[in-house]
Amino acid sequence: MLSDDKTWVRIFKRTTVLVAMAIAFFPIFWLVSTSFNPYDEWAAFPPVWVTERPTLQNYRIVFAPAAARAFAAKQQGSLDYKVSGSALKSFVDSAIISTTATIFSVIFGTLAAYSIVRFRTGGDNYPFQFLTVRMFPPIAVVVPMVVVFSVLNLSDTFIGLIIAYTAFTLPFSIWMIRSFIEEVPNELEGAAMVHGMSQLRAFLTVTLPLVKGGIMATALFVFILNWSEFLFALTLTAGDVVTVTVQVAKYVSASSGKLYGVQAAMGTVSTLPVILFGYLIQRHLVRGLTFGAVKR
Amino acid sequence: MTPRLELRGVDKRFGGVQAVAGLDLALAAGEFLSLLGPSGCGKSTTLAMIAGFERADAGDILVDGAVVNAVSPRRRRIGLVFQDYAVFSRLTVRANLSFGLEARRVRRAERRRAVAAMAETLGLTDILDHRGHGLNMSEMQRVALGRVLIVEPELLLLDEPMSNLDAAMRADLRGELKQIQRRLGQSVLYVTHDQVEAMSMSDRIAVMNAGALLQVGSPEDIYHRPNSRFVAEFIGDPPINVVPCDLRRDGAGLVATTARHVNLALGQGDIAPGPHWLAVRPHDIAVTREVGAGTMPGVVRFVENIGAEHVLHVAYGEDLLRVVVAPGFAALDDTVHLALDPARMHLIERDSDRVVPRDAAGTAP
Amino acid sequence: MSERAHTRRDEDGAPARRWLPFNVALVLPAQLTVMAVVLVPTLIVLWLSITDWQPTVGVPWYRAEPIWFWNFYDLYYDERFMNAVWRTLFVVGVCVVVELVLAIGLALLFLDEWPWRKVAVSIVILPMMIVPVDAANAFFMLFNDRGPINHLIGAVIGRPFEYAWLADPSWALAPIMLAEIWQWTPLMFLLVLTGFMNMPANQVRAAQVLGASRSRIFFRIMLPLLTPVIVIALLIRSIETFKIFDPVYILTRGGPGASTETISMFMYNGAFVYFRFGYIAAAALLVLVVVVSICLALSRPLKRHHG
Repeated sequence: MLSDDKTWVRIFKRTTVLVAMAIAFFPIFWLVSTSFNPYDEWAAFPPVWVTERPTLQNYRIVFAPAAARAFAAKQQGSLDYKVSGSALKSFVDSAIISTTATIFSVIFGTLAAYSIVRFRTGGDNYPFQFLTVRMFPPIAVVVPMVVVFSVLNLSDTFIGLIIAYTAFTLPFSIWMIRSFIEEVPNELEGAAMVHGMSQLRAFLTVTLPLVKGGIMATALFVFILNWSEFLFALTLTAGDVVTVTVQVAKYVSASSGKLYGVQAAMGTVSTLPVILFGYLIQRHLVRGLTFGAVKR
Repeated sequence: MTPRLELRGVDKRFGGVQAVAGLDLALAAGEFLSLLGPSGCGKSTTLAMIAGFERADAGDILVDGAVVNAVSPRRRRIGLVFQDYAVFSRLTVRANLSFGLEARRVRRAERRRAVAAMAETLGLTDILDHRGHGLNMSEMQRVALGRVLIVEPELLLLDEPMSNLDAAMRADLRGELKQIQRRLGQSVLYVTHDQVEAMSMSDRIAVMNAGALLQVGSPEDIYHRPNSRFVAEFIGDPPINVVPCDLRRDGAGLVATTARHVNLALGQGDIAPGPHWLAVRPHDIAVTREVGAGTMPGVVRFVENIGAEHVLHVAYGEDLLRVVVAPGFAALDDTVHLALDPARMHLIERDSDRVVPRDAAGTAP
Repeated sequence: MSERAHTRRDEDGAPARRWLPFNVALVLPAQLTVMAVVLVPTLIVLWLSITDWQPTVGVPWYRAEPIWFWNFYDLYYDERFMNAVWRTLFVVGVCVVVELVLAIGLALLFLDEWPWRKVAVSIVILPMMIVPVDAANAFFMLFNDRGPINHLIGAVIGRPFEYAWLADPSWALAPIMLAEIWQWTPLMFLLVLTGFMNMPANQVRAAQVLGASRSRIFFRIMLPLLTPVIVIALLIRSIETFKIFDPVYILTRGGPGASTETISMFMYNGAFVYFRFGYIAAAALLVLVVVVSICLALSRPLKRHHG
């Protein structure tokens, strides 16, 4: 757009971009680098920026119970970390919960979005009612939810979290998918219906394939939200169900934050799916995070 | 006298497409030059390069004799009106008009005066406090124009300024624009695909197609002496008739034979015989109801009613010729007789589409 | 499209009403889920907020003794609560504004094209693709008293710098805010960049041709055109920042003392450390009412955009 920069202006601009990139990358670099640090370098000062003796020990502790136990035995007395299992369970639990909640959220969301766009169900203000869910500070909802869950015996269960996650990601599902459906003109379904199809079949055979990409993007987006969620997982579970976010918190609190290498390994692995999916749906991030209000 | 604007051998390429090739053009001070051509011919690209939004790959662009290829748009002192007008949607009309003056740090009292005067000239006084995004097309066009004229640029570039307006508005604005230009004495480069506009407003017309400049001349020149088939067909309404013919020698002169085997003596000449095109304007064909000397019969296949005249599409062998007659002259399926005047015809070479110049064809000028 | 329910016609052509209109049936699953998770807890909050129920005492929640408005009275005079409120507002104000300014500045750098621009965008938005808890974790290690930040500062000022950021009540908020800003500026950046890309380029070009300087073009033409996007960005980020929890929990738990306690942390501590569910329910109600009404009032620009 403004393409008449002198050379030095251009150099200055590019350098600033490089600085921004460095700042963006640095904490992640530190996390990953530390995850390969051997035990004796964890609390060294000056801190080790890039280790010369990279090790997979930290990852083994995170994933393999035997290694974890051996490590704990060795640390008896010096670090107060009781390793009862590995973090593998947290990955499994998070996968189950995130995937299931995502599926529900997207399916419910697609049905609702379709109804809202094509039938204007509930009037013009109806969709905004779903947005109010996002305005509720989760902590305000968590307190009564703990009570509700304990009454219904949903505490520390998969179902409990799944229901909560579904509800809180529905605003995103509905609004994102709604904006995708709105991009498909009504006339396409109308044309199919002229050929004798019912409204629903027209939707399934004509519109759905066209918004398939958008729904996939929404699904990945919701999955990211579910996987990254912390507060509900922290308060609504007590050990039978453990998500990766809770596991990270456990590593930090159980050792006053001194389990650097292991913490870093856990952090690195737990954030990988989110990075991967995030880049896959890069184009749609803006649309998702603004509830469809801003599109490229 | 240095031309106000000059382009020398300008080239521009976009990926695999040559948008502009070897363009040479000069615009004199105070001249109204139209850059005329169909969509995609490169005229908008040329304009972008003159304004500074695109860089020429080769060649020079000179304003008042100085090369401006590397000069940024804000320093070129050129006025530009975009095709979509690009009125500052979030500013009032008043702010739009005074924008250029503010950029030049003109004092407030002076600005106010200039804005009031310009608004008066363009009929914008009533909407001075309206916001940019609420205006209709005609208002936007005038705001875009006013905004540019108020800083009194010496070179004015207009990119299809009338294409968003309906016919009535266009007719009005054509006159207004010409008056303003004559009064302020600006040099104007007017880009358009509408040959009527170009013909009616310009001192000179430059016809472009596929990135190349085909012909530059006064409207008169372009109309009566096109140098190529494209120019001949692009200018003139109804469009010129083009029929295939065969050229051969007959004694000392040349004879053109059309599909109906009508021979037209073309006088002396040095053209090589062979297949050619024959082009003649509808207004240059004499039409009668009775047979006359050297006339050819044809059947009316279609009657176009354009108000004050009728255009008849007359079948003549395999060809369809358009002729212009008074209303009610003939009806569908009537037979009429056409007389072609060799002096008013153009001979076009088959391969190069180049119009053979008059003297070579030996026909009377 | 008809707004009425879609009706099927049976064999002899007479319209047969299904027991539930088709379009309503479609929204039911979503609607019910949301109501279950939102409506029911809200009702319970309403009840709990007028009691002083503590789960540790042994009385079931529905048999707690109502103390009516005393919770709210106590909250008003609870310095810790009030501090949490102001502190949260402070964090929201600083973070959102800094994020916006950085985002606009950064976006301006990305307006033209250069060979590695795509890569640059991908790296710059990396922070927002990190699980917030992991980002907080990373910052925890960065701001360790023997961590790289101190190491760098030490290198710059020439002597060893082993400051315990997270143990200092006056400065512990800084790593938290830095983590938040680091993580979410890329989001604002994307929004602002999208705003710039969607801007009518010809208006900017027209301003250039009229001879306007870069800053004039930016402030008089570009910023006004960017306003709708900025408003949406501010609104959304303010709401999300107000709820801030993950970095606070991981980095300080609200400490040292209560010096970094935000609203969410205050309520978490009150409910899950001190077990004063009734009291916290009252706080939750207050927060709910205030936040939702402000949001509804301010979200009219959002509505206008969805036409």
